[in-house]
Amino acid sequence: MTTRQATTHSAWAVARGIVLIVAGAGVLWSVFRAASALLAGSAAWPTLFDAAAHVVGTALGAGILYLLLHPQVWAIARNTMAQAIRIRAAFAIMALYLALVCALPFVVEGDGTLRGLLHVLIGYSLIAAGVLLGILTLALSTTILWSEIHEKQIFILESKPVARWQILLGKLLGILAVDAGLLAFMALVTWGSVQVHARRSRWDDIERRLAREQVLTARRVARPDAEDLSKEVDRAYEELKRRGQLPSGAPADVRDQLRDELRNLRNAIRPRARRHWRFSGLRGARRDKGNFTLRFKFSTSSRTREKPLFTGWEVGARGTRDFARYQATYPPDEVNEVQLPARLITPEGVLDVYLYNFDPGNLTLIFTGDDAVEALVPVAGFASNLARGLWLILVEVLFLAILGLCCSTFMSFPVSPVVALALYVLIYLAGTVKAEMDQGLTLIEGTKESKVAAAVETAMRGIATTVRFVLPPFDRYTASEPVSFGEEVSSKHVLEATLSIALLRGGVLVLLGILIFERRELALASR
Amino acid sequence: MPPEQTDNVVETLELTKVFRDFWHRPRVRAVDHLDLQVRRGEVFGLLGPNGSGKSTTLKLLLGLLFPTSGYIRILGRPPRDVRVKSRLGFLPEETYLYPYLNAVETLDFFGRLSKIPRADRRRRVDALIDMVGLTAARHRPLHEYSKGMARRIGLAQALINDPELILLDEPTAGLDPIGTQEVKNLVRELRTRGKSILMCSHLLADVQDVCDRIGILYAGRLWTAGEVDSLLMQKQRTQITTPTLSPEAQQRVEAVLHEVTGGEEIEVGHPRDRLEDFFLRVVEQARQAQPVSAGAGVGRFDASLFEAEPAAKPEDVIDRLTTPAAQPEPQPEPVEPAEPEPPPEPGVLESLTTAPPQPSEQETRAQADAEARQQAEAEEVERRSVLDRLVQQPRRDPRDDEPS
Repeated sequence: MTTRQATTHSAWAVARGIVLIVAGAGVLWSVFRAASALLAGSAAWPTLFDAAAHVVGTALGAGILYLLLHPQVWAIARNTMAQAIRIRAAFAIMALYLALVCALPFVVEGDGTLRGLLHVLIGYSLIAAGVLLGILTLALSTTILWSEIHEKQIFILESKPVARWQILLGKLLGILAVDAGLLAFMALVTWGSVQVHARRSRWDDIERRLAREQVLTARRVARPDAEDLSKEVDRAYEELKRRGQLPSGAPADVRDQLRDELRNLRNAIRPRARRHWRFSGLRGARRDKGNFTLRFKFSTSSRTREKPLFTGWEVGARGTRDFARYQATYPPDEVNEVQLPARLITPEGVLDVYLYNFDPGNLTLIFTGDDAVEALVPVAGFASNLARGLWLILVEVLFLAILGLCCSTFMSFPVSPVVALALYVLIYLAGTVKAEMDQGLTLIEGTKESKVAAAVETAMRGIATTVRFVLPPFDRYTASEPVSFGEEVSSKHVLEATLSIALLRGGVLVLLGILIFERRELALASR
Repeated sequence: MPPEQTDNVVETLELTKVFRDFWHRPRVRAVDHLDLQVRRGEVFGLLGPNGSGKSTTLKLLLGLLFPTSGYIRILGRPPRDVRVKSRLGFLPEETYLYPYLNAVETLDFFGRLSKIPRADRRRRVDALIDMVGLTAARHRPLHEYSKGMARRIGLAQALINDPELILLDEPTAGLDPIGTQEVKNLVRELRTRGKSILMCSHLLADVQDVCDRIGILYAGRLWTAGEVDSLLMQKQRTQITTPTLSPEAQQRVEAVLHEVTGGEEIEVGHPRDRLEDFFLRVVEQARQAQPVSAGAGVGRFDASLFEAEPAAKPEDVIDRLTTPAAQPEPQPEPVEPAEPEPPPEPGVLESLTTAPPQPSEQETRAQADAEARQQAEAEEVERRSVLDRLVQQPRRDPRDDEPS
């Protein structure tokens, strides 16, 4: 190596060295603090857990940075971008997306409101972005490395001072860069289209304000505090016992049954009855100006009645100025959103909501599910929320890129895209199957009569649970739903997705890919 | 074995590569107990018929294939060691480059991979493109290149990092005669600068021109290796070289020689094998010793494959070749190659390739020749200066001096 080569080489090496020193110091500091807390006898499990998480996080971050601080990785990434652009699929995707977003308002009917239109526009375009980018990424990642092996350019790469893990990482980085560029374009198109539609003259100021407050925003969703029913359950249990009317079964099961019944009773609001919900933990949500949203959905005891029902509401702290009382009719089986002044929330972050069933038709209102009543407090703007939503898509796409590359390290062209695509579909199916199973779906008939069927059912459930655990939970981190409903995609949520999908599962897959790739005889693979 | 003790840039011991089929059963033994040494600073030519294991050997040296058994050291390290690669240049048998990049981008990419600083990289890229004569085509994407042009850019990428050891697989394949000559000159220049070169070829004239030592592979085994001069020298004969002798002196010398040798055939002039004859002889001997090779065998013309056309004109060359009457029965291959054909009479080639010169044009032709010569000399000077800029004087790797 010439002296000049050695100089640049050492510049990168110095940068890597600094990363290692800083990370090492960070790790040592965490260990030192945990150890001193332990010696002082004040260490609790959470402190130790925090220290461990800190150490792992630092090591992970430093490791990724260290790997990226190799000039060869960036050279390969640049070349991969040129290769990907050369395939021209990226431009096709851009054109397709543009056409789709422009055509959407004409194709899909909203509910006639600006909110509805924007909701549909944002929701569908984000779904399209995820799917288009996912397919493009799978196509790129399964062909780019393969073509290099098949066209034997890898022969020359192998004769250069570049390690195979650097080739793989460079390819990944290049594909990710193309994806990020496309995603930026898609974000721009979506944002621009939203702005254009929101400014059209057919909408009045009220529509625009509602759209701003209910869609073009990021609201944190709060659920009412869980009610402690244990005392009532105990009382009911004792009463039944005293009467000798206890149903058969283990006491714990009986109590669970009683709890469910009590909850159902409380969620059913009989005519002229009242229901109280308390939301605590809305700290910081109180403002003198501005609104928050109360969102609810109910059904009725009548299956045929679809007319709106008459209800009365009391919101805020009774006996103060920050209290509102109003009456309104709302349709059943629909999501209703009401804008209320944010000053109704106390400075301590508590919100009380009372609902009266005033319906003259003597119908009972039924609130079921976790999302029956929610308070939505604005915490951020639309643009930043969209950006976080797109990050979720990027995380998903990164995993797919890793999946495709990993497949192409040991499979040839027609095989690896098919396998990768099958896994992509499986990832989505696994989420649905698991959700269905959690709701009591049985995979096999006759599990009660036959022991074999029961065993098979158990095994299938085990497999489904394992698959669900191993595959990334994309469905838990979708972007389209929250962003199009104006719900916050929290930074914590995004971080969680990045850790669990990209770093943990993706990292394991990358390591697997490198391990396979390192052991391949490339001259044989190209045959 | 501590690598620092030897001064071999390439060293294999008992190197064996067996290709296996889908069920992992041994299918082909492509390299068979190969002991190969390439010394520092020499040009080593690896010869062999098609499928004799030359390219497989190169792939093993580069880590593209893993040996079934045996030992490989390249610049004193195992072939998969990335540190070795920064001191290595490789030109594969076909130029596998990125069709969407142009010459500058291609060399820049490989320069980046070799961690060459930006300014240095630009300078080297320009100089290398200049050296391989692609300056005019530097911004054209490689998919527009002819095979010869692609070969040139392939050669340039092999030299981007000023390597100590250069592996060339068929370096002159696809090049025109001028390009071939340039490559041969380049190889000689690189050697004078202390570079070590291992080249595979079956273009024997090229090998004979530039190689210090050669090895002949057949069926994955090295059948002979040594200095080109000593291998080709016929030790049972003697050549006497003198300044030009007068006819009388020559008669006297011949008389003396007649007396000494007993009147056997005397040839004045150095009898030296052409490499081609030597190569054919070794391969034939190898074939007899080991008739089974996984590579290409000796082809034999089979007249029954071709039907004679009754209406063929007698002057049709193809027809003469394929008509049974014109083709004697296939003869078994001679074990010893036939006497080398006498070189064509001077002037035959010219008469074939150029129109008969007009007497009045002779002077202008001579002048044009002189001009062309001058131009070629000027180009040579320029090319050498380019090379000077590119190639550093031989140096020893500091690691080689480390105590083991």
